[in-house]
Amino acid sequence: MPDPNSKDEEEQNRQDGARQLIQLLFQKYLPLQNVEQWKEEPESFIEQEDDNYLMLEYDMDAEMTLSLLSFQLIDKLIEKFYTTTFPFIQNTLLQSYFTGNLKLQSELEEDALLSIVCMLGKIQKDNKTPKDQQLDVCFVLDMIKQSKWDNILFQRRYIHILLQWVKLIPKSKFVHYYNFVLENL
Amino acid sequence: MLIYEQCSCVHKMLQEIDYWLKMSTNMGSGFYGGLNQRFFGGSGSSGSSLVGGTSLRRQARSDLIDFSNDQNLVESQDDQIEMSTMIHSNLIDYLKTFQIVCSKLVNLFHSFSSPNLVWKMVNILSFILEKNTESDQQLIECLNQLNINKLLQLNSEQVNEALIDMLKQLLAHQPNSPIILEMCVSLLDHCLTKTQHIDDTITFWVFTMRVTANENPSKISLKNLFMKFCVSYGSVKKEQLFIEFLKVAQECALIDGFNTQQEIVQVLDFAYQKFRLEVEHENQLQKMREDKRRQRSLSGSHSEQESGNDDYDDSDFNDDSFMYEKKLNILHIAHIIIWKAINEKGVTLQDITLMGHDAVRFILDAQKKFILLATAYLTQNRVQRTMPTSSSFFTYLITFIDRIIIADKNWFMTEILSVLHRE
Repeated sequence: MPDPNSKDEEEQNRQDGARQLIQLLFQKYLPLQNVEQWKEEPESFIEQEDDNYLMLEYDMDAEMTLSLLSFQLIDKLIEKFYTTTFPFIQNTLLQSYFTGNLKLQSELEEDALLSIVCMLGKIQKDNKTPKDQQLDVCFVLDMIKQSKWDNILFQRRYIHILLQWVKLIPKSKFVHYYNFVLENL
Repeated sequence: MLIYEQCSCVHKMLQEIDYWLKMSTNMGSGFYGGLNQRFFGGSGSSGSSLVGGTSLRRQARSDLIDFSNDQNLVESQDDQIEMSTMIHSNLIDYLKTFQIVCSKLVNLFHSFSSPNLVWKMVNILSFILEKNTESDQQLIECLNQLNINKLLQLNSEQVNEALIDMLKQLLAHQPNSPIILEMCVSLLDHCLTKTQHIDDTITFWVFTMRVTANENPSKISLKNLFMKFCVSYGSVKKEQLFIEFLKVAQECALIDGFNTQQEIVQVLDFAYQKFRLEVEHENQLQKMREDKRRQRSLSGSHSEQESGNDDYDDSDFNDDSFMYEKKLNILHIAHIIIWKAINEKGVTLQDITLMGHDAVRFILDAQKKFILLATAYLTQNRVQRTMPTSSSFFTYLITFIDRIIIADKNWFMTEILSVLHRE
């Protein structure tokens, strides 16, 4: 585990397994595997997704797809090692992604990275994370809207992030997002 | 492709606002005053604008969202409630939301057939409808596009329930609307024909009959529905269903659904036949009980006479705990019809209009067999006091016969009492 308060630089920057695993999993295994189904048979895709959410309630179900298993694993890694994983996601992965420094292979990988924002919404809500220590989800949403909106995959991700963050979004910005979703319906 | 997710998101966001509104209601109207007094020394927060005041408070106390602390929990709720109330009252256009969501979901209803998803979509619509308390006509125009029959073909209990909930809400809100009534009738017709989810459906039938306004231009379709199903559901064996059906018949009488001489005679004959069957059944049970008692007496057991509680031995009636409720509801049908003729001082049917005494005499003649049977029952049958509804049934029976006597004493003496005396 890295120790941010240590005087030893090596100690401060020590790579921990959780962060490495998150990076590996989101790039290699988390991306949607059935995106074609979503485009061609949205009804069965949504139904399957509902089943998946249900399956996530249980530990490592044998029926889980690789993507779902990765989702569950990343979710657990964030929860267990929150003090190191959350800053890593916020300050390294997302920041470098939005500044163009994180090169991802495909839009599915980008979508996978943004799906971690959904996880964070649930985790921070469950943990009752103080407002000033929460991820700035409005920034993420605005970035998607500004730079990714022409791709329907990211429109979908925007909706899913909102769904997971609905309780944490500041009420002063609530109507802005509400109207935006409604206007885009 | 995204419609379902977007509508779910709108729903979830509205639920979030609704959550805080309900929280506000639960906490009572004195919430703000009490809270401000406790946490702000009575000065309250009204000095700042709503948004400004909230953010200032947040800046002042960074741990507002720390729910582990009771004080912070309440403070956070205060903010949430204030903001949500403002958003609900001023910033969300529920009619526009409904118009957009409904028009989009209509397309999905055509292409989706999974009961789970359809159920969710109907719930989304119902939820937004709840928030719309005005602009009924525009709501109805949107709903007009909804193909209820297509949804019913899914034959899913949960979809059916969700549709019933939605229609109940709509009809209660707009009892004059022919479009909403036609949607209700479509659902009822479909489910009654296919005997789908019949318990819920028949309860909804009673609801529809009761809630529809007398002025609804499509009221005739309720009567047509009754006529279509009166034979099949009028002879249904399941007691609770039968009782619900009788309630539908009562409501039909109340909204002047029976509006020809023939229909009046038919419905009163139906009431007579059903009452007769019930009385026969009760008499049969009574006879069995007496036979049993006689046998016991012959075999030397005198315990019943000794205990002196023979009136209360209803063990043979236990398998018919609805016996009085059924009779009560049959009686209601006849009573409503005579009561309306007396109360409205006339009977206006499609084929005849009678006023005053002629109207009362017409109805009395039409239900003569029923009155004869009811009077004979009152004078000859013993009350099974421990059976449910016995007391209200007999009270009601006496009221009914009393009303007949007051309406036309001479008719009662000649047409009822003298006949009973001869018999």
